[in-house]
Amino acid sequence: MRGIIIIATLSFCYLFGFSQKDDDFLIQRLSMVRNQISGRGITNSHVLEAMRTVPRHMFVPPNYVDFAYDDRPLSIGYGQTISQPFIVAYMTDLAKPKKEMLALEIGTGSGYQASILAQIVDSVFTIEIVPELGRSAKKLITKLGYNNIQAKIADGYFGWESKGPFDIIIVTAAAETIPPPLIEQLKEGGRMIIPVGSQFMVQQLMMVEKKNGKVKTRSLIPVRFVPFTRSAKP
Amino acid sequence: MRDKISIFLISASLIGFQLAIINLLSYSQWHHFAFLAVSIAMLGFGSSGVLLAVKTEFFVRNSKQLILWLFLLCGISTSISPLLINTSLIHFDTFLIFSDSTHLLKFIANCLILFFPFLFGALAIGLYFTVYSSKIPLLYAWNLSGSALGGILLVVLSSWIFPLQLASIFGIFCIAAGFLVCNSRIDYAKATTFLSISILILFYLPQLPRTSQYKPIARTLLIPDSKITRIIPTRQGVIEVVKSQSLRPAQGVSLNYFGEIPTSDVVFLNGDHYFVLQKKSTDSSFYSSNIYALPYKFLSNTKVLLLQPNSTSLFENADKNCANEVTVVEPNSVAASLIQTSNENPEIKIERSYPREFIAKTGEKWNIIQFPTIGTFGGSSGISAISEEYLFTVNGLAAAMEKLTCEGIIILSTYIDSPPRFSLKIISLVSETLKGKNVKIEQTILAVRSWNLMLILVKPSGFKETDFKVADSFCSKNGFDLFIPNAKNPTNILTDSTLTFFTERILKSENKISEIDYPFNIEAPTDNKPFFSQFLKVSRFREYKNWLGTGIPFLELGYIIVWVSLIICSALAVLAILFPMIIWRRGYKSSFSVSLYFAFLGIGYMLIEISLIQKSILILGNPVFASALIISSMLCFSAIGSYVSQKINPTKYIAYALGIIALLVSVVSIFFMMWFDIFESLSRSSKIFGILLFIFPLTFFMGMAFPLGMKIISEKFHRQIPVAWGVNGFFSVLAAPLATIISVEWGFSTALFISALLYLFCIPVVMVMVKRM
Repeated sequence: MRGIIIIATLSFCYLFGFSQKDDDFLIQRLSMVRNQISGRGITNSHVLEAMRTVPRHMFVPPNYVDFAYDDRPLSIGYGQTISQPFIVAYMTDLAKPKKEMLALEIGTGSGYQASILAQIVDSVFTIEIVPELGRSAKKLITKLGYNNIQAKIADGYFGWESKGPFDIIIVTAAAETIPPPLIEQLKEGGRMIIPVGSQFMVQQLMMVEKKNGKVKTRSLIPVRFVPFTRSAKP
Repeated sequence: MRDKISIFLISASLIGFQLAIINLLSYSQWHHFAFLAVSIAMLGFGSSGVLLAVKTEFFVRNSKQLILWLFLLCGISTSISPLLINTSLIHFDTFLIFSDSTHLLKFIANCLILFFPFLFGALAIGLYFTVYSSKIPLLYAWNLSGSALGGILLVVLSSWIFPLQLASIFGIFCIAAGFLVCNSRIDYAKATTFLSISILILFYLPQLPRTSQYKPIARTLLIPDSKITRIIPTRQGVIEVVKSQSLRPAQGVSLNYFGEIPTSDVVFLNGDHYFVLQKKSTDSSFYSSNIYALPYKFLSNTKVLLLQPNSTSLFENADKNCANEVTVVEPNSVAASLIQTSNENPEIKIERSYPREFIAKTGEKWNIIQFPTIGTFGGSSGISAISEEYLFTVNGLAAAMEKLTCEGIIILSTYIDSPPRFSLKIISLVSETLKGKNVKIEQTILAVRSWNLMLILVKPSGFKETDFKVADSFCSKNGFDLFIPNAKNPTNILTDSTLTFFTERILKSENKISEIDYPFNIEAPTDNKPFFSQFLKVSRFREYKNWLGTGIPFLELGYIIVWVSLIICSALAVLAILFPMIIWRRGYKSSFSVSLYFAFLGIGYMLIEISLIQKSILILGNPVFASALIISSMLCFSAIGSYVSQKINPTKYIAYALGIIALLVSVVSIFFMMWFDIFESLSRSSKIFGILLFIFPLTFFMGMAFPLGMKIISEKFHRQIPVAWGVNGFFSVLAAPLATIISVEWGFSTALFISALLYLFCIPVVMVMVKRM
């Protein structure tokens, strides 16, 4: 009898503690969306809802869980980072995702960006070249029940031809070259988003659009950075 | 004599270890930690002075036994420290210092581990000075000449031995020196035990140190099929060649190119991208649709000079676009031979030389001179902020223009950054150089840009209207845009107008670029301030904080590291030197004039050393060689000065020596470059001779200032010797990063001017010292 009471008490404490921690993360997540994302001008309700839903703290290493909702990128090991929440939201917003769309992500990392996209679009295909990262992201995505994400470990240069063309392509790491196969796999009218700059501080995002067979690019600065011309003397 | 040789050897070991640590940290982190290594060494010297001052009697009484122990402890800590800082527990990551407090603690742990060899070594030398105070000038001479040998040894050995082993090997050297102070069988047994442990450690060390996970090589090696095919130690650092089917860099290729991008082997220098050995493409449009193909549309039968190109695709591009003759200038001899091996084209010549050096000595003229692409060696986060870059200075660009044929073109290129810094600085550089040569800017510059790269063509004789039309049609075919003059309907849209707005202001400005109100430093670099990649303005830090929040360090990591090093080393110096000295002063009064004198010497010597290194790099080209030459020759000449000073009456002549130093520093500052105009076209050995001849008088007298001061206090203020040793060490700790900050902010001439003033201020201070006696 005494044993049952102890087990029941411990279980209660564990469950209570667990759900309380979950509640804490939810509060942090809602605050992150309010202050860092909608507070900086992102209004797309699908993006905001996805950012409110996906548990970011599950995608960071255990020693960084307390900082998961901070306004900064975090190291996930293997020389990679999970982007700052605002950048993830901004990249997703720029891609203009819709329910029926197909999205390709180059650089799965921890799987956070793919999970955000998976909340909005029909299917997400994600490719990671580092096997260790690819495997752990795949495991986590399955654990969280994202059935519309397909992940593979491969060289992102070739894209995923058999699943394309894609409405959205998101390249999560800054690139010197945009591989020609990725441009080919971008649907007419589709959008490709690439960050430019150091991983710890993405300063600029590049949007590549394909219209009438022609490739156009547009460099965009995240809204938090004020263009200097405004402060310049005439 | 055994004592003198042991001082000579331990000094060689300490300076060798210090330079080896710079090599090691350049590989495992980045080269900015050079200042950290110098500061830690000085911290060891400063703390040793404090310990000697506090426990003078204990040290003097037990000097015979202690000296052996200090040699052995110095040796073993030197041998083991590379092993310790390479463990996963202690290894820190530069990028994570700013976001993860455990890495800041690891960084401090690294400083402490590297501190002990210097502490023990400096204690041994300081103890010799204290015990044999009447022979200080002679001992100091042995100390300096040993240090000179250490510098030379490092340069010689670094071409053969990898950084971890190189750092560790100096420990063995130090223990071997300990054998000279053994007096009994037990002493020999102790020394033999320590030597055996050091040798074992050397064999236990891995071939290469751990690197930051954010270094390009670490990230490249995560690719499953990647493998290192060659590892070669060189004087400039460790060269590694990595092979992988996934490496396909294609700088400047058009987004309208849908063919295959050939794979490449990538050459890394100290873990950073250095060179791309790209396989040849069979598809000629890979080369013709590249942004770098544009200049070849204006000229035919071209003779091309490629200065330190970062990819073989650039000379393939020149060749495929009908260049008649291509000369590639590459300073790293290993990289040059790798290029030579991969090159089958007899029309492509490889020259092993530094670009600025090559430009100075070549008598030939070229149709096209292409500079290296900015951003490929500068890194994306300002990691090279405090590296001098003598090619990208007004003087460097002007010198290159002199080597153009009458219709010749200079090619400059940069990655487009945000907020614009590299791109605007290179436009400033072109603008200032043309203004300096009284060339009209209009029609002289033509710039085009892709989605991420900007190509600036400078033709001093002026572009024709037809050239602009050719450029326009090239751009519309390949998805590029004219930038100067600005295209009206660009394919690559810039939503932020900062770049175009300020480009226009720079080009149209009659005034100095410094008068343009821009948050970053975009002034054109000169030979006096050759820091192309340094953009931060200390006065605008608050604005940066508002814009970038915690991201500032990642925008300009290099310069921030110098400040972080200065703060951490200052804190450690206060804790390890100043604080104990203040406590100790309760029991014994230290002299303010003694402290001031040796503080000025500590800062002054370092400022001169760093400035002379900078000026010699300009003349000799090779930074490693120039640094070693200056450090070793300064120590050697100072040793002669120190030796001579033992025969001089210090109270009578010290003021003259200080005055001569101040005068000679001013002479060096004004006439150094003039002097070398005479040697410019001569051989390297003549240049070296010229440098040595020019710096000899100055460094000879500089070698007198420290021992003469010591001699004065040793006569009446014997207990002040350790204070002098400690204060000198404390200010030398601060002087290394401080000298860098002064040079970055105000230029090398100002650094020399300040040092002249410091030596001048020493005169009244030393007068007070003499009077007190």
